[in-house]
Amino acid sequence: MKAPLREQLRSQVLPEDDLSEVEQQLLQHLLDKELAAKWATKLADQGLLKTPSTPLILKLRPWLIAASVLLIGVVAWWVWSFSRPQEQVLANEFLKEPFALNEGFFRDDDGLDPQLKSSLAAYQKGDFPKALADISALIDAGQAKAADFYLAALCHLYSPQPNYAAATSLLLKARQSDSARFSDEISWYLSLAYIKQKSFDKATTELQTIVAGNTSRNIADAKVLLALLAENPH
Amino acid sequence: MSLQQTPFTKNFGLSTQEFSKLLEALATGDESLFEQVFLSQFEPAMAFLKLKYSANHADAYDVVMWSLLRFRQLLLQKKVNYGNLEAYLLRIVVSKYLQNKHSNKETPVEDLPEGLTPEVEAWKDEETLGMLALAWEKLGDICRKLLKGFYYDHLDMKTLTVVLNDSSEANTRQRKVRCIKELRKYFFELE
Repeated sequence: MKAPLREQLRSQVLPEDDLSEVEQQLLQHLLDKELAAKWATKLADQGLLKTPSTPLILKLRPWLIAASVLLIGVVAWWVWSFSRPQEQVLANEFLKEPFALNEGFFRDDDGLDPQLKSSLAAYQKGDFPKALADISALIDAGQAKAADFYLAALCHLYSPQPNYAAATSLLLKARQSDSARFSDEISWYLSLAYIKQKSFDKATTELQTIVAGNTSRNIADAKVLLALLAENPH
Repeated sequence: MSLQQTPFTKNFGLSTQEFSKLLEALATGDESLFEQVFLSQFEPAMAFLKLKYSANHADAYDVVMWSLLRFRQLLLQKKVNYGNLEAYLLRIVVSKYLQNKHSNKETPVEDLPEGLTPEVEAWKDEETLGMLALAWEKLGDICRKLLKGFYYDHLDMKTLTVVLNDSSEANTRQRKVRCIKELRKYFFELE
């Protein structure tokens, strides 16, 4: 049988002024365990455990179990009605990281005029309300192209107070203005905006377009959302 | 201290100044700010693994715990820059989860961010780890602080001299040699 590591170490000549690599790894393991135990206690205080506690229902007598199942069913239905389903949570996650928009994203014929440039600069600084105000001026003047509608829609999605209906309307205008430009991205953001508005059939259609197109950067995420929507029909 | 769950933001809601303050505090042994900010990400990170990778609760818990331990060390080694801390942490979480999931297969080291390599667990034995834990307990506070600071938190001698209130770096270096000797004495002499 192989000797314990301690015995192996004891028989070795170890450097006096430094821990050997193996000793360092052992120490790392020990201190990981110490710190993890400390954090686990703090997390447990907040109700987060590695192993969720055994449901009380399992300890009940059969007739109590039946009653509890009925009660749980009612509660689950109530919670389901008022909770945020998984696709909402995931849509929120996907909308947290703003789309990395820069001038390279636009074409010469988008006419990078000062209004668009100013809006883009504000967008890149994360000042979405200002970016929206700047680009809206261009849209209101009736000069907008697909890129302008698209930028305005993103501003609505990332604003501190998002307006999903307005974003949807602008994304549809962008598509109407030029069906080829940003088509994958428009489908992606439309699907997220629809999910936020609980228009699940429309979201499904957009996600299916993404998957069928096979060109979008969001195919994998679209599949996850499609699976969630299929699992939880509304 | 509150560990209230907060949603992901690009830098967990920290400004650059707050981030610098957090690093400074961590280097001097004050873990409270790190815990307040990063443990609040524990549950969202677990939820991400569960939703996106269908991870079970216990696996997600272990992976996020491991990832935060490594993330803390990377912060102390100044290998993480302010910019997109969330994406960096999630990259560690996802890489580790996929590595564990396919542990019976070859996982390329480059899948983990720089500075993180898969652990070699096979040679560790519980008896040795138990003895080391006892030896560590017997070691004095200063030695524990010094060896932890040097080997686990990767602090340099200059910082350790300040943290330990030593008169010079040379003194801290000598103290380190004495502490190693003491730790080995307890570790090898325990029966």
